[in-house]
Amino acid sequence: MPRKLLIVIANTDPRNHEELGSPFFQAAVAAAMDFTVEVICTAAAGRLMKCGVAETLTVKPGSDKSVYDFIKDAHGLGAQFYACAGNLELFDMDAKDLIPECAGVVGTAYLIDRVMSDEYRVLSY
Amino acid sequence: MPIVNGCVLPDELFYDVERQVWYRELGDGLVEVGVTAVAAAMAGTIVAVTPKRAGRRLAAGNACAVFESGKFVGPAKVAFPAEIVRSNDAIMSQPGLAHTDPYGAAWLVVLRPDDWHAAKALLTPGPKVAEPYLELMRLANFAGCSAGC
Repeated sequence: MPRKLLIVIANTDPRNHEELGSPFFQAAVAAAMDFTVEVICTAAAGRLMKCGVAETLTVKPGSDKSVYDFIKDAHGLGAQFYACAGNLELFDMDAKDLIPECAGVVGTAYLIDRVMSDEYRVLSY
Repeated sequence: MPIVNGCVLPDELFYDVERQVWYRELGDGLVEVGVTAVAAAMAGTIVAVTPKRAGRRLAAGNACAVFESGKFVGPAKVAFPAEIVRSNDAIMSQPGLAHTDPYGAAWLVVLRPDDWHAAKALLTPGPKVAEPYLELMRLANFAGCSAGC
């Protein structure tokens, strides 16, 4: 059984708040289960790796837990977060704009390499 | 039996206070594992508990089970290397047992430690657990368990 999980968040639009909980919660659970977890945020979800964005969003209106709190929980349990290189320009970002939980920027080839690898299972949102 | 801020911590168990996990000697080299009433109370309403399956090897620091509440995910990590010999399927369908019977029906797994004698040296025996638990609660700003915890 593979011990590594890649979560690709591409089609989850931060404007649809209720979509934002599951990917990060599942990342947290998988990390808690001792799997190696990588999360790559790209396309519309790339904005979530920008400082100040996720902390203004909640999955449920009125909740005291922000999307950034979900990201911090998953990171605290060991999940690694990455932004997509080609995505930064879309949101006028560069590496210094990333949240501290984001380990850095990766290219599309990094993502494809893992998708094709037998070592990984992939969840995409 | 120590009762710390309303939370029961039975004498006969051994505790990994930092990880909030208890161990019960069963004999034949086996130990039962669960999480404390304090951990369950801190987590809020637990909606899912998933123990790992029998036959799995665990290294020190690996999770033997994962707890989920609406907004919280928490692993129950073991303090020493061991093999899982039994797993509590019942708690998956009744996760509330973690609140109502944390030291009984809410057991998670039964382990065969590689070296229980050495493992026990890492743990706090029940009669000595009150003071470190008070400190843990203070650091976590946790007021205590409600009645019946």
